[in-house]
Amino acid sequence: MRWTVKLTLVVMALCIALVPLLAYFVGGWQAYWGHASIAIVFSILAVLIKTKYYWEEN
Amino acid sequence: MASPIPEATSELALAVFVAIGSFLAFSFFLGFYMRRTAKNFEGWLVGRRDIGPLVTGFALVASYLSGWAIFGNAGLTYTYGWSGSWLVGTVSIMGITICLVLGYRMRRYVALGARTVPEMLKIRFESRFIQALAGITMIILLLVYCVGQYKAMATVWTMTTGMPFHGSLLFTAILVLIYIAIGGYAGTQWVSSFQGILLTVVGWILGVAALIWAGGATLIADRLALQTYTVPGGNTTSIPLDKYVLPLHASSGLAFPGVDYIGAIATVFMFLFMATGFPHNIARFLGVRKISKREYWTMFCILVIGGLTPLWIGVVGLAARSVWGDSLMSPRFWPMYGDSAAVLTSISIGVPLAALFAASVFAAAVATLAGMSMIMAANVTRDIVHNLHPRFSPQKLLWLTRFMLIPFIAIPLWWVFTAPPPILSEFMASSAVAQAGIFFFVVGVSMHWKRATKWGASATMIYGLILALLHPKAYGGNFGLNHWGIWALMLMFGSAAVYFCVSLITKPLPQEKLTTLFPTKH
Repeated sequence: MRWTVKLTLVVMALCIALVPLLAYFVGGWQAYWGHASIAIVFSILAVLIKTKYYWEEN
Repeated sequence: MASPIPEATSELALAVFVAIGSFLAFSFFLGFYMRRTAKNFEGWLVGRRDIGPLVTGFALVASYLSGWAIFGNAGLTYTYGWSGSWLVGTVSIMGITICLVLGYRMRRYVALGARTVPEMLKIRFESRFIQALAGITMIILLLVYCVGQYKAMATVWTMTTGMPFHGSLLFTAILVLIYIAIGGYAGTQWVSSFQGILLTVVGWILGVAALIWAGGATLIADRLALQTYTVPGGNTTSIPLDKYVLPLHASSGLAFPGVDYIGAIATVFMFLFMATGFPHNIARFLGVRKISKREYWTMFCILVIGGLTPLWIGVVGLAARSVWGDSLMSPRFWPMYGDSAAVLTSISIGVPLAALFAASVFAAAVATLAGMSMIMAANVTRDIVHNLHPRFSPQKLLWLTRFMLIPFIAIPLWWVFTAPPPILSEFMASSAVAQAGIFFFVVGVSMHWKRATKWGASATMIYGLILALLHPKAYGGNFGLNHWGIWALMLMFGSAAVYFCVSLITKPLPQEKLTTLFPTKH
């Protein structure tokens, strides 16, 4: 596995870890929409890995 | 009270009737047109494998956003405040993207003859047993999931027409039968895509309108901070709604996912695994054509837009709570309680929006019910009967599929009739955890992990079903398993442990057989 993929996976794991932390330390609307923003970052990285390194249609 | 709780009027009932009628008519014409293009039953299941990213994307949105998202999420936030947002799925975009990343490989199995998810497993593991076991597992879990759809539709009908809840239930069951009879399930991908667009547009509009209707985000948060939890039925407590956890009293309160951060973290993992674990989601990739990277990103953008819809419905519940307080938790609203928040808010905003929302809930619930009933009927005919008796004639199979629709429509109806769940999305989460824990690994991971074995997959399904029975509100209490979060983590990560450990100690398919499923990259 390339180091760039590993690094991206670590960032994705951090995104998951950030979800309960945001709820606990920030709360309210910021946490509510913050979760969605984190989810979007996580998702962009996931699709990036797929299309850049594991694309199956070539 | 800023705004009185609205009542049903004849104008509203007429508008809802017209909206639902239009939806039925459009679905019928779309289904009829697409049915003409499908030459046989298999063609209906996967089409001509020429579906593009736009249609697939919105169809995936529709199959994912059933009654829980477009309707039940408002009930969650209305009842539990911020702590209800864990089950709203504020991170659900993560899960739906994982489904996109892992599920696209289903195309490979269609080329090898798979037309359903259990058939894909049969090909993956060369095992008829696993096909039958997956079929049975899906039937059990999907039946529970269908219960929520009935409650969603019946609540909307009751609130907009004034008909008693049980009468609305029977009426909605008739509508489901009409929908199936006119072929609303035909051309699934196209009809689902239309529904996905409808749900997304209406969900976003209702969410934004509710935010404005309640006086803005700050006012909603301020009012919510003054509120305390009220049990469905009207008993008030002193537990504030202003935090992301709601420390309900043990032991019955531990069955609520947002009771503490163990439960909250379990919901995050549930949403990570859930979209891939839903067999009706991953089946959306059966009919997709070969697509480019640019189209793949287009599909992703659709999923992001659609994936934010549940959050907007959650906003509706928060807005309703800030305006009406805990009024909807009183016995007057039995058995709908907080679940009536979304529809009542839509009525307060205006009749046209209420009619559109009713049609959307109907679209989400009826399409899910019809689709799931069809999947369960196909589980019986294709994955069990035809699997065990391959010589069974196609004509008999078709008739058997039609016949099996009756129990699969009637069983969840009877369930809601006799024991309606007080909070719809909370109830549906039980089935979602089991589907997430079992099928994420058995289907999603097995498509990418060569070392998976049929023994690992079978043991995971059996383990997951046993744990599903040990839900805190089922038989878990008898074994001291009262905490939802611990139960959910045990189910999901226990399934993972069983899947990987059993697979690693048993023999996989020979390398030459795996070559077709896992071609080497050049």
